[in-house]
Formats: sequence, C-alpha cells, structure tokens
Amino acid sequence: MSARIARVPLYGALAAVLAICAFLSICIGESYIGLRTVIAILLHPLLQQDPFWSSADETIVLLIRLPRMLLAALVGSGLAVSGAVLQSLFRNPMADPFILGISSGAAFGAAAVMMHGISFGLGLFNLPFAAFLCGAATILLVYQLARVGRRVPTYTLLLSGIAVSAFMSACTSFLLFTSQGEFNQIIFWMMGGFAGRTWDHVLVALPFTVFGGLAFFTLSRPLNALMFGEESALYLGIQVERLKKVLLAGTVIVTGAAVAVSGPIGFVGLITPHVVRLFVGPDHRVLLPVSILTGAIFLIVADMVSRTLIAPAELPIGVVTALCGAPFFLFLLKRKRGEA
Amino acid sequence: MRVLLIACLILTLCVAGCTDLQKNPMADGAGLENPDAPGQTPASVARLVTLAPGETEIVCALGMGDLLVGRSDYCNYPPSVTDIPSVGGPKTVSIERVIRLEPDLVFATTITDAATAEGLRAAGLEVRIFRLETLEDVYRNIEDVGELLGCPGNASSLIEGLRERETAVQAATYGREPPRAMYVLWDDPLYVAGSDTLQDDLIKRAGGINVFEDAEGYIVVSDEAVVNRGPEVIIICEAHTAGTGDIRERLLGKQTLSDVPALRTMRIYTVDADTVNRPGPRLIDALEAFSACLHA
Repeated sequence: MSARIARVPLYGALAAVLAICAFLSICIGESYIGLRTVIAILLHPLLQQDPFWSSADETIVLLIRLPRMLLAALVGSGLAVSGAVLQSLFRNPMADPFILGISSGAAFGAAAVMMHGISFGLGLFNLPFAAFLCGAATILLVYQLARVGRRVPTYTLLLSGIAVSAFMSACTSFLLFTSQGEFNQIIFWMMGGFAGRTWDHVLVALPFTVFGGLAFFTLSRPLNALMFGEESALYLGIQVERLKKVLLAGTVIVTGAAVAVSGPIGFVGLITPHVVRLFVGPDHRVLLPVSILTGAIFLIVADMVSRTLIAPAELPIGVVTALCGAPFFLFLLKRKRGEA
Repeated sequence: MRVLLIACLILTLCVAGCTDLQKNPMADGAGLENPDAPGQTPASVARLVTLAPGETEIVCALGMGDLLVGRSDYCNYPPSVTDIPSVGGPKTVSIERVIRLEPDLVFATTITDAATAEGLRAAGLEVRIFRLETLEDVYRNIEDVGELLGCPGNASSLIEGLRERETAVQAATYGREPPRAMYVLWDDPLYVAGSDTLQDDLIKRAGGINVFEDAEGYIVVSDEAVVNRGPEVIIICEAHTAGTGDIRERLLGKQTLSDVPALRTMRIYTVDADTVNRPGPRLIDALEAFSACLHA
C-alpha cells in the first residue's frame, strides 16, 4: 500500500467536491437561472416559500437538470466501481466492462429491443432487462470459452472477452445496417449521453447501482485476498471460483443498468480506478468507495462540459470523457512514475 | 483510443444512417467537381441512373422518367419508379450494379459518397453531382437536368410553376409577425435542425424564425434549450418507416416540455418526411406545408 491517506479527511474532501460539482451542474445550463432562484427552488419542498420564479425555471431545475445530474452520478459511480472490481478480479489493468464484452453484449441486447420492439412486459425496465440478459449471456459465453478444465485463467478470459466483444459489436453494427426502419433511437443511444433523460431513468438505474455498490463493498476483503493471487486466496479460505462468479454477476448488473440508461460511455470504468489507485493504493475497503465518489464526479463534470461547450448543441459525452480523461490520466501516470 | 474509435465509427454510422437528412461532410472537400459548373454533356442520353430520390423526382417531373434504367433504394416517387431496378442506398451504392446497367449518365449528389462518384468515373461513366442544400439549389438542379436531358423548355415551365407557388406562399404571409419555430427530426434525445439545413431554409421562406438558427447543421439539444427558447410552433417530420411510435404524442407527453408555448397551445404538426427532406420539385409542397403550420 503505497500512498496511504487518512480515510476520514479523504472521504470528507471527496464528498465536498462531489457536492460542489453536483450543485454547479444544477446551476449551469443554457438558460440563466440565478443562484438564489436555484437554491429557493431546491429548498421549496422544505420551506414552502412563495414562488418568485417562473414555472419554466422550476421545470428546468427539478425535472431536467436535477435528474440529469443524479443519473450522471449513478452511471459514473457504477461504471467506475465495476471497472475497479474487474481490474482486481483479473489482476489486469486493462480489464473494464468493455474489454470483457459486458458493455457490447448489453448494447446488442438494447439494440435488438429498440429495433424490433421486443417487449418483456416490464415497461420502463424493458431496456435494462434486455441489456442485463445479453450482457450476462455474453459474459457467460466468454467465461465458458475461457475455461480450461475447472479453472479460468485470466489471460484466456481477457482474450476471449476481447474476441466476443468485437463479435457482439459487429452484430450490433449488422443490426443497424440491415434495419429498414427507424434507427435514430439506437444511433443516439449508442453515442451515449444524458440528453433528454428524466426521473424515470434515475429510478431504473438507482436500485441496481446502489445494490451492486454495496455488494462489492462487502466483498472488499476477499477482493484484497485475491490480489495476492488465486492460489494464495484459496489458502486464505476463499472460494475463488465462486467469488469470481459473484463479482462477474455484480458487474453485469451494475454495468447493464448504466448502459441501459445512458448508452455505452467509455473510459470511466477504465481510467477512474487507476487514478484512484494512484492516490489511495489498492486496498479495496478504500479503493471501492473512493472510485464510486470519483466516478460520480467525473461524469457529472463531463456531462456539464458536454452540454455547455458547443451549446445549444450537445457533444457526445464519450468524446468528453476520452478527451479529458486520457491526458489527465497520462499526466498523473507520468508524475507518479517520476516520483518513484 | 478505443472510445474515440467507437465515436468515429458511430459518427460514420450516423452519417450513413441519416443520408436523407445529413449533409455529406465531404461536400465541400476535394475530389468533387464544382457542382455548379456545367460539364461535358453526352450527345443524347438514353440510359440514365440516379442515385438520389430528389434527382429521380426531378427527372420524372420533367417527363423524362422513361430514360431511367436505375435508381437508389430511397427513390419511391412517383410510384412507377419502384419498377426500375435499384443500385443500392445512397450510401451503399453498388458500383458494379451501376456499371452493368450501362448508363450514358449518372446523377449523384453531394450526399453520395465521394468514393462512389470517383469509382464510377474511374469506370468510365459520366457522373454529374448536384448540390442540394437550399430551395435555390433545387431550381438550379431542375434547370441543369433539363439542359442535360435536352428538355430545357420543360425545365423552365416547371421552375416557373414552382416559383409562382413560392411567391404565393410568401405573399400570403407578408407582413405577419414571424412565429418562432423548431423542426424536430427525433425526440429522444431531441434532434433538431439548425442553420444551413433545408428545413431552416423552409422555415425562413415560409415566414418563420428557426429558434436554433445560431447552431449549424442538425444538432442534439437538451430539453432545457427548448424550454429556454420557447418555440411557438413545432414541426415534426414523419417518416413512413417509423416503427417506434409517434414523436408528436411523445413530445406532448413530456413533462419537461410542458411549459413550451407550442406544446401548451398544441401548435405541433407533422409533415411528410419525404417531401421535406428531399430537394426535389415536391419541396414546394413542403414549403406550403410549413407555411400552413407556421401561420395556422
């Protein structure tokens, strides 16, 4: 554990940054709404103050900006924590939901549902359900392909993950190119982003992300043990293969929910855990919660940039996460290497 | 990086997917002849292939539909052209199929892949590229087609008729307060027409103001931007192929947009996508439809 930072001040500082970014993202947008008005609107349910603002302002703050910010936070934390878990699970810095095919599987499921109007009678949860289903099927396939006897070596898992992921992406492209009908919905969804998202999307993502995050957190200690190698973990009394399955299932659920509401957003799951690890070290009891907070901050800020930079048009958020994330990550990596 | 690659791929898909709506990013680039310059004309055209529905409609409106031996997947008007063999979609033209039709002349547009046009030329075919961004382009294209197919008289009388109708639209709304309008291509997320689009041109000519004229091309905007700009009229294009529900109903049901004047007063209209998105003679139908929506 290289850089050890006192936990309480760290959480405090991150929570403060998160709160400030969250508040800023509610204040900033195409239409100018004064700080006092925003605060008054937010506190209205508590204080029951007589409205001095227009109903348009209230709609913008409560129905557009607030859910959008919450959704960015949920998706960011979900992707970041999934990335952290996957990287530890495979002890490979390249592991993320994309590499293992979970995202592309989920994307294919969602694409198939949108394109052919398949319904499972789940209403709002139709799309996430399809995303889970195909994400889970994909990772199951990857897992089976990678299995050597009773064990699943990491390198075969990554290799089959990359291959299956490419295959699923190709299937999605094939669906798109051969579809005769309306494909606007799927094209926009595949670009990823939070434009036009509402409270409904927040409600879809919330339970899975919170549940998944908590589940991962309770598995921090076994995850720590896994870092010493599967054999050592086995000697420490951990059922490694079962742990792997539980963790994979968890990441499928969390990633599936994130992908279903926002479309695939790259870079968050890969970069956030690395940046966090550079600062707090590899102890999962710290790494996981800090990744959650950092992922939320990252996507809230990225979304803010995506909707203000070329306003009134919106930039695809994947472009923002890559453009901001990559140089920042390289800068950190270089600096830390210099210190060592 | 991966993500950028993915973004690029998706952008490519997007351009490929919305061919009827999107301008070719290569339109002003190298490799294309100046669409305005009249090139060499084959002595007489007996076999013609068009790669865009707008050009097909112009050819047929000039009474030269019999010359057509090939069309694109999207060419479906007038209905008789569907009997003509297709050579693929505007972005997926099969060069081989075009060559096998042995045309004397091929009509392409600035939306056609530059590589396709080059490929056809390399095969020794005569290719004409038409620009299609404004109503004026349509008039010029009709004139050029008339010239190329040896029926300039038909062309000028067609143009005359269309111009009369355009003038009538403008006269009918002259002096009225221009309503603030928004043209919607998709609702989730909101995808609207900014300046330098065919629909922006139509809104202006029909006596309205495009609320997103400060942005260029077709853009994704947030619900907030729409609430903020408060369009008084919303015009939606209705594609025949839509299989995902009714954009109008969904916009009316959107709680976030309930304060937008157009939705409060139900001034939200659907127009036929094929007439609005195709720079052919029916664009005047679209102009009349826009005028009816704006001044209803």
